Amino acid sequence: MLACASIGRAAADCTGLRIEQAWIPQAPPVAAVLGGYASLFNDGGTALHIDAVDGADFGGVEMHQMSMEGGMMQMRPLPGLDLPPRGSLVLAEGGKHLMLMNPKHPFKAGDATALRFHCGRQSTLATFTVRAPAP
Amino acid sequence: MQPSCSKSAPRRRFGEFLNVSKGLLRWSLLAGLAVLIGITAGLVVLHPASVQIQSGTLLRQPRPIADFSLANSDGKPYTKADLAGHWTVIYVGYTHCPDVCPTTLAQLKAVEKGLGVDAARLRFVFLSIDPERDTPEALGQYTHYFSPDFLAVTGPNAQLDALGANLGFVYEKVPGQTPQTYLMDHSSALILIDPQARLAGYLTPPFKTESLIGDLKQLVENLT
Repeated sequence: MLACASIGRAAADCTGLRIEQAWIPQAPPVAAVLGGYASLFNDGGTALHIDAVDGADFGGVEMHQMSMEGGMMQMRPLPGLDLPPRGSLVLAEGGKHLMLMNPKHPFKAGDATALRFHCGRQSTLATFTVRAPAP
Repeated sequence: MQPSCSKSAPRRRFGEFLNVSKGLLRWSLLAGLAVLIGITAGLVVLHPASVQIQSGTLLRQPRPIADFSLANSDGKPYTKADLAGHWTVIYVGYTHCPDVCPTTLAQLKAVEKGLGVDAARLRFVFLSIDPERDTPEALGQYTHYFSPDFLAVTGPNAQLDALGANLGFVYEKVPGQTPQTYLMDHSSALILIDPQARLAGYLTPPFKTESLIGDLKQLVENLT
Protein backbone atom coordinates (compact mmCIF):
# COMPACT_ATOMS: atom_id res chain seq x y z
CA MET A 1 0.00 0.00 0.00
CA LEU A 2 2.81 2.39 0.94
CA ALA A 3 4.81 1.29 -2.12
CA CYS A 4 1.80 1.97 -4.31
CA ALA A 5 1.40 5.43 -2.84
CA SER A 6 5.03 6.37 -3.42
CA ILE A 7 4.99 5.08 -7.02
CA GLY A 8 1.88 7.12 -7.57
CA ARG A 9 3.55 10.23 -6.14
CA ALA A 10 6.69 9.76 -8.24
CA ALA A 11 4.66 10.05 -11.43
CA ALA A 12 2.57 12.97 -10.25
CA ASP A 13 3.02 16.64 -11.02
CA CYS A 14 4.14 19.02 -8.27
CA THR A 15 0.81 19.82 -6.66
CA GLY A 16 -0.38 23.24 -7.76
CA LEU A 17 2.72 24.16 -9.79
CA ARG A 18 1.98 26.03 -13.01
CA ILE A 19 4.82 27.14 -15.31
CA GLU A 20 4.20 29.78 -17.97
CA GLN A 21 6.14 31.96 -20.41
CA ALA A 22 9.08 29.60 -20.28
CA TRP A 23 11.86 30.68 -22.61
CA ILE A 24 15.57 30.52 -23.30
CA PRO A 25 17.39 33.57 -24.67
CA GLN A 26 19.06 32.71 -27.95
CA ALA A 27 22.81 32.38 -27.44
CA PRO A 28 25.83 31.74 -29.66
CA PRO A 29 25.90 28.15 -31.00
CA VAL A 30 29.18 27.63 -29.11
CA ALA A 31 27.71 28.75 -25.76
CA ALA A 32 28.47 26.26 -22.98
CA VAL A 33 25.64 27.63 -20.86
CA LEU A 34 22.21 29.05 -21.60
CA GLY A 35 19.78 30.96 -19.40
CA GLY A 36 16.27 29.81 -18.61
CA TYR A 37 13.41 32.12 -17.66
CA ALA A 38 9.77 31.48 -16.72
CA SER A 39 6.88 32.56 -14.52
CA LEU A 40 6.11 30.01 -11.78
CA PHE A 41 2.77 29.93 -9.97
CA ASN A 42 1.66 27.91 -6.97
CA ASP A 43 -2.08 27.49 -7.41
CA GLY A 44 -2.27 25.20 -4.40
CA GLY A 45 -2.80 25.87 -0.74
CA THR A 46 0.54 24.43 0.47
CA ALA A 47 4.03 25.81 0.04
CA LEU A 48 6.13 24.38 -2.83
CA HIS A 49 9.88 23.84 -2.80
CA ILE A 50 11.55 23.14 -6.14
CA ASP A 51 14.77 21.36 -5.25
CA ALA A 52 16.08 20.43 -8.70
CA VAL A 53 15.59 21.04 -12.41
CA ASP A 54 16.89 18.87 -15.23
CA GLY A 55 16.43 18.30 -18.94
CA ALA A 56 17.50 15.62 -21.42
CA ASP A 57 19.12 18.25 -23.69
CA PHE A 58 21.50 19.51 -21.00
CA GLY A 59 24.38 18.13 -18.98
CA GLY A 60 23.00 19.82 -15.89
CA VAL A 61 20.74 22.61 -14.68
CA GLU A 62 21.40 24.93 -11.74
CA MET A 63 19.15 27.50 -10.15
CA HIS A 64 20.91 30.84 -9.79
CA GLN A 65 20.49 34.27 -8.33
CA MET A 66 22.05 37.20 -10.19
CA SER A 67 22.67 40.30 -8.15
CA MET A 68 24.59 43.53 -8.29
CA GLU A 69 26.67 44.32 -5.21
CA GLY A 70 28.76 47.50 -5.21
CA GLY A 71 29.11 47.56 -8.99
CA MET A 72 29.90 43.83 -9.12
CA MET A 73 27.86 41.33 -11.10
CA GLN A 74 27.42 38.30 -8.88
CA MET A 75 25.96 34.91 -9.65
CA ARG A 76 25.16 32.50 -6.82
CA PRO A 77 23.73 28.97 -6.95
CA LEU A 78 20.42 28.59 -5.12
CA PRO A 79 19.56 25.41 -3.18
CA GLY A 80 16.02 25.63 -4.49
CA LEU A 81 13.09 27.84 -5.36
CA ASP A 82 10.29 28.46 -2.86
CA LEU A 83 6.70 29.26 -3.75
CA PRO A 84 4.35 30.14 -0.90
CA PRO A 85 0.71 28.98 -1.09
CA ARG A 86 -1.00 30.88 -3.94
CA GLY A 87 2.31 32.61 -4.54
CA SER A 88 4.39 33.18 -7.66
CA LEU A 89 7.99 33.60 -8.67
CA VAL A 90 9.49 35.07 -11.81
CA LEU A 91 12.71 33.72 -13.27
CA ALA A 92 13.97 36.68 -15.29
CA GLU A 93 17.02 38.45 -16.69
CA GLY A 94 19.08 40.01 -13.93
CA GLY A 95 17.41 38.02 -11.15
CA LYS A 96 16.65 34.41 -10.29
CA HIS A 97 17.17 32.23 -13.35
CA LEU A 98 18.16 28.76 -14.53
CA MET A 99 21.66 28.01 -15.80
CA LEU A 100 21.37 25.30 -18.46
CA MET A 101 24.79 23.71 -18.78
CA ASN A 102 26.48 21.82 -21.61
CA PRO A 103 23.68 21.79 -24.20
CA LYS A 104 23.85 18.55 -26.18
CA HIS A 105 23.23 20.40 -29.44
CA PRO A 106 23.09 24.07 -30.51
CA PHE A 107 19.76 25.85 -30.15
CA LYS A 108 18.32 28.40 -32.51
CA ALA A 109 15.31 30.70 -32.18
CA GLY A 110 12.08 28.71 -32.36
CA ASP A 111 13.57 25.49 -30.94
CA ALA A 112 11.88 23.98 -27.91
CA THR A 113 13.15 21.79 -25.09
CA ALA A 114 11.55 20.18 -22.05
CA LEU A 115 12.77 20.83 -18.51
CA ARG A 116 11.57 18.94 -15.45
CA PHE A 117 11.04 20.81 -12.18
CA HIS A 118 11.35 18.53 -9.16
CA CYS A 119 9.68 19.13 -5.82
CA GLY A 120 10.51 16.17 -3.65
CA ARG A 121 9.13 13.04 -5.26
CA GLN A 122 6.89 14.94 -7.64
CA SER A 123 7.90 16.76 -10.78
CA THR A 124 6.37 18.95 -13.46
CA LEU A 125 7.49 19.13 -17.09
CA ALA A 126 7.62 22.51 -18.85
CA THR A 127 8.40 23.35 -22.46
CA PHE A 128 10.95 26.13 -22.94
CA THR A 129 11.12 27.94 -26.28
CA VAL A 130 14.28 29.61 -27.59
CA ARG A 131 13.88 33.21 -28.68
CA ALA A 132 15.96 36.32 -29.26
CA PRO A 133 16.20 38.56 -26.18
CA ALA A 134 14.49 41.94 -26.45
CA PRO A 135 17.03 44.67 -27.30
CA MET B 1 38.57 123.60 14.07
CA GLN B 2 38.34 123.80 10.23
CA PRO B 3 35.70 121.38 9.26
CA SER B 4 35.50 122.73 5.67
CA CYS B 5 39.19 122.02 5.16
CA SER B 6 38.99 118.54 6.45
CA LYS B 7 36.09 117.91 4.08
CA SER B 8 37.49 119.57 0.96
CA ALA B 9 40.85 117.90 1.16
CA PRO B 10 39.58 114.39 0.77
CA ARG B 11 37.21 115.54 -1.96
CA ARG B 12 40.13 116.98 -3.93
CA ARG B 13 42.26 113.91 -3.40
CA PHE B 14 39.38 111.72 -4.57
CA GLY B 15 38.99 113.91 -7.70
CA GLU B 16 42.70 113.63 -8.43
CA PHE B 17 42.55 109.94 -8.01
CA LEU B 18 39.69 109.77 -10.53
CA ASN B 19 41.61 111.88 -13.05
CA VAL B 20 44.73 109.86 -12.69
CA SER B 21 42.95 106.58 -12.88
CA LYS B 22 41.03 107.14 -16.12
CA GLY B 23 43.99 105.71 -18.01
CA LEU B 24 44.65 103.16 -15.33
CA LEU B 25 41.01 102.08 -15.40
CA ARG B 26 41.19 101.49 -19.12
CA TRP B 27 44.33 99.39 -18.67
CA SER B 28 42.90 97.42 -15.84
CA LEU B 29 39.72 96.72 -17.82
CA LEU B 30 41.83 95.52 -20.73
CA ALA B 31 44.00 93.47 -18.40
CA GLY B 32 40.92 91.99 -16.75
CA LEU B 33 39.46 91.13 -20.12
CA ALA B 34 42.74 89.49 -21.14
CA VAL B 35 42.73 87.42 -17.95
CA LEU B 36 39.13 86.36 -18.60
CA ILE B 37 39.96 85.40 -22.17
CA GLY B 38 42.96 83.50 -20.88
CA ILE B 39 40.93 81.57 -18.31
CA THR B 40 38.24 80.78 -20.87
CA ALA B 41 40.84 79.64 -23.40
CA GLY B 42 42.45 77.50 -20.70
CA LEU B 43 39.14 75.90 -19.85
CA VAL B 44 38.41 75.25 -23.51
CA VAL B 45 41.81 73.62 -23.97
CA LEU B 46 41.39 71.46 -20.87
CA HIS B 47 37.79 70.61 -21.70
CA PRO B 48 37.53 70.83 -25.49
CA ALA B 49 33.77 70.36 -25.34
CA SER B 50 31.42 70.14 -22.46
CA VAL B 51 30.11 66.60 -22.85
CA GLN B 52 27.47 65.40 -20.46
CA ILE B 53 26.69 61.71 -20.50
CA GLN B 54 23.48 60.18 -19.15
CA SER B 55 24.57 56.65 -18.45
CA GLY B 56 27.81 57.03 -16.55
CA THR B 57 30.71 59.24 -15.55
CA LEU B 58 33.53 60.88 -17.47
CA LEU B 59 36.77 61.53 -15.59
CA ARG B 60 37.66 65.24 -15.35
CA GLN B 61 41.11 64.32 -16.54
CA PRO B 62 41.53 61.14 -18.62
CA ARG B 63 44.04 58.82 -16.95
CA PRO B 64 47.02 57.29 -18.80
CA ILE B 65 47.24 53.52 -18.63
CA ALA B 66 50.30 51.25 -18.59
CA ASP B 67 51.05 48.95 -21.49
CA PHE B 68 49.60 45.45 -21.32
CA SER B 69 49.83 42.22 -23.26
CA LEU B 70 46.64 40.27 -23.97
CA ALA B 71 45.56 38.00 -26.81
CA ASN B 72 43.02 38.81 -29.51
CA SER B 73 40.81 35.93 -30.68
CA ASP B 74 42.48 36.16 -34.12
CA GLY B 75 45.70 34.93 -32.48
CA LYS B 76 47.42 38.33 -32.55
CA PRO B 77 48.59 40.17 -29.43
CA TYR B 78 46.28 42.86 -28.09
CA THR B 79 48.17 45.72 -26.44
CA LYS B 80 47.79 49.38 -25.47
CA ALA B 81 48.69 50.35 -29.06
CA ASP B 82 45.41 48.75 -30.19
CA LEU B 83 43.49 51.32 -28.14
CA ALA B 84 44.89 54.39 -29.91
CA GLY B 85 43.14 56.34 -32.65
CA HIS B 86 39.52 55.57 -31.79
CA TRP B 87 37.16 55.32 -28.82
CA THR B 88 36.92 51.91 -27.16
CA VAL B 89 34.15 50.41 -25.03
CA ILE B 90 35.35 47.47 -22.93
CA TYR B 91 32.87 45.00 -21.48
CA VAL B 92 34.32 42.71 -18.82
CA GLY B 93 32.67 39.30 -18.58
CA TYR B 94 32.93 35.61 -19.44
CA THR B 95 31.10 33.19 -21.70
CA HIS B 96 30.00 30.70 -19.00
CA CYS B 97 27.60 33.36 -17.88
CA PRO B 98 24.02 32.50 -18.82
CA ASP B 99 22.24 35.64 -17.81
CA VAL B 100 23.77 39.08 -17.88
CA CYS B 101 26.69 38.65 -20.31
CA PRO B 102 24.74 37.52 -23.42
CA THR B 103 22.04 40.07 -22.60
CA THR B 104 24.61 42.88 -22.46
CA LEU B 105 26.38 41.72 -25.63
CA ALA B 106 23.04 41.61 -27.46
CA GLN B 107 22.38 45.13 -26.18
CA LEU B 108 25.79 46.35 -27.36
CA LYS B 109 24.97 44.92 -30.77
CA ALA B 110 21.81 47.07 -30.78
CA VAL B 111 23.92 50.07 -29.69
CA GLU B 112 26.42 49.44 -32.50
CA LYS B 113 23.55 49.33 -34.99
CA GLY B 114 22.00 52.49 -33.54
CA LEU B 115 25.28 54.40 -33.85
CA GLY B 116 25.16 54.07 -37.64
CA VAL B 117 28.23 55.58 -39.30
CA ASP B 118 29.61 56.65 -35.89
CA ALA B 119 30.13 52.97 -35.02
CA ALA B 120 33.21 53.01 -37.26
CA ARG B 121 34.79 55.50 -34.83
CA LEU B 122 34.78 53.17 -31.87
CA ARG B 123 35.56 49.55 -31.01
CA PHE B 124 33.61 47.24 -28.74
CA VAL B 125 35.79 44.80 -26.81
CA PHE B 126 34.51 41.78 -24.87
CA LEU B 127 37.25 41.17 -22.32
CA SER B 128 37.02 37.72 -20.71
CA ILE B 129 38.28 37.45 -17.15
CA ASP B 130 37.90 33.64 -17.36
CA PRO B 131 40.96 32.61 -19.44
CA GLU B 132 40.82 29.13 -17.87
CA ARG B 133 37.67 28.28 -19.85
CA ASP B 134 37.59 31.04 -22.49
CA THR B 135 40.31 30.15 -25.00
CA PRO B 136 40.82 32.98 -27.52
CA GLU B 137 39.28 30.84 -30.27
CA ALA B 138 36.12 29.89 -28.33
CA LEU B 139 35.81 33.44 -27.06
CA GLY B 140 36.02 34.74 -30.63
CA GLN B 141 33.30 32.39 -31.88
CA TYR B 142 31.05 33.38 -28.99
CA THR B 143 31.63 37.13 -29.38
CA HIS B 144 31.39 37.27 -33.19
CA TYR B 145 27.98 35.66 -33.03
CA PHE B 146 26.78 39.02 -31.66
CA SER B 147 28.77 41.17 -34.09
CA PRO B 148 31.69 40.32 -36.39
CA ASP B 149 33.10 43.76 -35.50
CA PHE B 150 33.33 43.11 -31.75
CA LEU B 151 36.80 42.26 -30.51
CA ALA B 152 37.24 39.28 -28.20
CA VAL B 153 40.21 39.54 -25.89
CA THR B 154 41.62 37.67 -22.92
CA GLY B 155 45.00 36.85 -21.40
CA PRO B 156 46.89 35.50 -18.41
CA ASN B 157 45.51 36.41 -14.98
CA ALA B 158 48.60 38.49 -14.13
CA GLN B 159 47.95 40.70 -17.18
CA LEU B 160 44.21 40.91 -16.45
CA ASP B 161 44.94 41.86 -12.82
CA ALA B 162 47.38 44.61 -13.86
CA LEU B 163 44.97 45.99 -16.47
CA GLY B 164 42.16 45.81 -13.92
CA ALA B 165 44.18 47.93 -11.49
CA ASN B 166 44.70 50.45 -14.30
CA LEU B 167 41.16 50.52 -15.62
CA GLY B 168 39.35 50.06 -12.31
CA PHE B 169 37.76 46.65 -12.79
CA VAL B 170 37.92 43.62 -10.52
CA TYR B 171 36.91 39.98 -10.82
CA GLU B 172 36.85 36.98 -8.56
CA LYS B 173 36.39 33.25 -9.03
CA VAL B 174 33.55 31.82 -6.93
CA PRO B 175 33.19 28.05 -6.37
CA GLY B 176 30.10 26.51 -7.98
CA GLN B 177 28.30 23.25 -7.29
CA THR B 178 31.02 21.32 -9.19
CA PRO B 179 34.67 22.26 -9.92
CA GLN B 180 33.75 22.85 -13.58
CA THR B 181 30.79 25.11 -12.86
CA TYR B 182 32.59 27.83 -10.91
CA LEU B 183 31.28 31.35 -11.33
CA MET B 184 33.01 34.66 -11.89
CA ASP B 185 32.05 37.85 -10.09
CA HIS B 186 33.05 40.84 -12.19
CA SER B 187 32.70 44.61 -12.38
CA SER B 188 29.61 45.54 -14.29
CA ALA B 189 30.55 48.94 -15.76
CA LEU B 190 31.47 49.45 -19.40
CA ILE B 191 34.93 51.05 -19.54
CA LEU B 192 35.51 54.01 -21.88
CA ILE B 193 38.94 54.51 -23.45
CA ASP B 194 39.62 57.69 -25.42
CA PRO B 195 41.53 57.86 -28.75
CA GLN B 196 44.73 58.72 -26.84
CA ALA B 197 44.47 55.28 -25.16
CA ARG B 198 43.57 56.83 -21.78
CA LEU B 199 40.90 55.80 -19.31
CA ALA B 200 38.11 58.31 -19.98
CA GLY B 201 35.22 57.08 -17.84
CA TYR B 202 32.57 54.47 -17.22
CA LEU B 203 29.05 53.62 -18.36
CA THR B 204 27.12 51.98 -15.55
CA PRO B 205 24.08 49.66 -15.44
CA PRO B 206 21.17 49.44 -15.76
CA PHE B 207 22.04 49.98 -19.42
CA LYS B 208 19.48 51.62 -21.64
CA THR B 209 20.15 51.17 -25.34
CA GLU B 210 18.97 54.67 -26.33
CA SER B 211 21.07 56.41 -23.63
CA LEU B 212 24.15 54.42 -24.58
CA ILE B 213 23.71 55.39 -28.23
CA GLY B 214 23.26 59.06 -27.29
CA ASP B 215 26.30 59.11 -25.01
CA LEU B 216 28.62 57.32 -27.41
CA LYS B 217 27.50 59.53 -30.32
CA GLN B 218 28.40 62.60 -28.27
CA LEU B 219 31.79 61.22 -27.36
CA VAL B 220 32.89 60.18 -30.83
CA GLU B 221 31.53 63.35 -32.44
CA ASN B 222 32.89 65.86 -29.91
CA LEU B 223 36.02 64.42 -28.39
CA THR B 224 38.53 63.02 -30.83
